[in-house]
Amino acid sequence: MIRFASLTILIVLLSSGLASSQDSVAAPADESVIAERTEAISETLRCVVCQNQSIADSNAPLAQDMRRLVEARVRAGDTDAEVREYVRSRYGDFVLMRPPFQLNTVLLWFGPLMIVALLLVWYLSRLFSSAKDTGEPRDDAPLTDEERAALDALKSARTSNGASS
Amino acid sequence: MSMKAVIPLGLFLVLAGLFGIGLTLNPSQLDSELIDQPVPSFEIEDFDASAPAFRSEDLVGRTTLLNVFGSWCVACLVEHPKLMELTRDDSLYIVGLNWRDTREKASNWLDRHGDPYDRIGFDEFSFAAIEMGVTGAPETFIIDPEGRIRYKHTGPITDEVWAETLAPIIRKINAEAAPS
Repeated sequence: MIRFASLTILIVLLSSGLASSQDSVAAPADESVIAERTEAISETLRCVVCQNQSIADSNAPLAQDMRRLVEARVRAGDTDAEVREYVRSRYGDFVLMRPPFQLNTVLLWFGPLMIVALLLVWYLSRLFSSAKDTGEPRDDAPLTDEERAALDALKSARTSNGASS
Repeated sequence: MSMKAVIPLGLFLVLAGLFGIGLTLNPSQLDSELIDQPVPSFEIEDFDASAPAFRSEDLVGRTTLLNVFGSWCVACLVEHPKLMELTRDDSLYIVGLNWRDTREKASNWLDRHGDPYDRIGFDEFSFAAIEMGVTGAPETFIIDPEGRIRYKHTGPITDEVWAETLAPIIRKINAEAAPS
């Protein structure tokens, strides 16, 4: 019985200790979590004034105001995707640093891959077609009678030249 | 000339064409997501600090030209004479959005160059500007009496922009609104 009681007390103490430690962590972590999420979301949103910077990197006044808005949305409890959608619905797809995958961006995402694939097809087809006999004269084909006669003529001319010098 | 010889030339022409289009596009001219959408809801201070708040709902009920400006904005001076000229048409409701400015600087600016606005919202921290998808000043929205954004123009209102783009849209809206 005493054993059971002490075990119960131990469990209660441990769990209460756990709970209180969770509470004490949660409150200050909130601020850093908000700052972290604001930073992370800001890195995915384009500064509409400077265009090639994210609003996290830009010092433009509008980018600062947009960061403030992102922070306000995060505080209000929006998910990352909801914050991005909030800004996208006002500024368009352009404001997203990473273009969304949709019908009008298929070419953007797959264009380079398609070009590589086409080049590969072209290269392979060339490789295989040149391996086949194309009907044109080949280097290792036996000499025709005409060629042999011409070769003999050249050879005899060369030996007679060599003899005279 | 064989077909093979034409392929590089064809590729070159296609690429040159695409680059040509890319170079002539104006990267600051972005489509507004808000065309034909209701004005997003916002509430900011009125430029007149003693007046009640400036709310997006106030833009419903008449054809409105909403012009984003600031005393710091150089291009706003370019269109300013045009806006002053437009005030002669009493039927056009011209609303200003004083963006990222101070009341003092903006008041001086309006005193010096004239005040074409029937009403001005004071948007120090871009609350309304971000809701409206504003990317820079000057920027001009045309809002119909039902409170829908019908057009957004980025950059100064030149005589040409007014005559060829903005005026026809306003005429169209007024024709729609007129009881037939």
